[in-house]
Amino acid sequence: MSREVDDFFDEIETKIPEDVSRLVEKQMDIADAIADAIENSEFKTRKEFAQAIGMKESMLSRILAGNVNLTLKTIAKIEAALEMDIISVAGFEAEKGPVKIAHGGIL
Amino acid sequence: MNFGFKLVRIKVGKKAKIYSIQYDGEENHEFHKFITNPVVKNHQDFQALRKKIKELYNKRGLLSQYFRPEDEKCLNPEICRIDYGQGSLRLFCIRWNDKLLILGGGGVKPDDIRFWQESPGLSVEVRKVADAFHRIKEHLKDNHLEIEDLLED
Repeated sequence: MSREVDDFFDEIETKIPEDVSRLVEKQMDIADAIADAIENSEFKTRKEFAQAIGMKESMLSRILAGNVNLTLKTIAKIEAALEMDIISVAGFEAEKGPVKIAHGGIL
Repeated sequence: MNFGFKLVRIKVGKKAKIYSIQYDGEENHEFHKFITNPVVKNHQDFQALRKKIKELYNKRGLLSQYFRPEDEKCLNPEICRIDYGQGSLRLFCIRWNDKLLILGGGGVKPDDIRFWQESPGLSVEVRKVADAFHRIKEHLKDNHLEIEDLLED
């Protein structure tokens, strides 16, 4: 394999800025959490869910691909429709039984 | 194989294997061309795309939700792309299954167009990946093979 390809993979943790790395991880965590929540909700399809919250299906696809830097407003809208928390704030998690984002789903 | 290219292994992760297409007579595979293209390397989303690829092969697996379909006839969801953010930086690929990804080339979608069909460069890359997919499928069917039979170390 070429040096360029080796470097592409070997230097992921050292060359990618920490904030970029965290952003991608969190976007994908949130995408997974939303996908799981829709799957376990009363909505039969993702299309139906998108329509229920007034979102284009293509936008929901982009969110589930981990491509979107969601605003809190959009997260709140999604949480309200799914009647559950998608994210929680560290240190402010007591009463409602917080949902923490875990890799690949919700804890 | 004698259908004009081979599938070369570029990464084996905890959740998936990644291969790329290397055409006969060419020194490098398509993914190498992608990551060494200055326009790609210098794109604002390049590092994020790199991280996303690692998340796929090492942590999450190749769930279909992470990929955007690219088949013009909408018949083969395996023909797709990985992108990030607004989707201007695009890496075309074949998501063979949840554990095998075959990477082609890609590029940057100019801001003034909406679809890759409007970009000659991106059109070539998508069609190369689509053509590779069909050739692989046909070869497997004609020769009663499994995809694993075509994967090189």
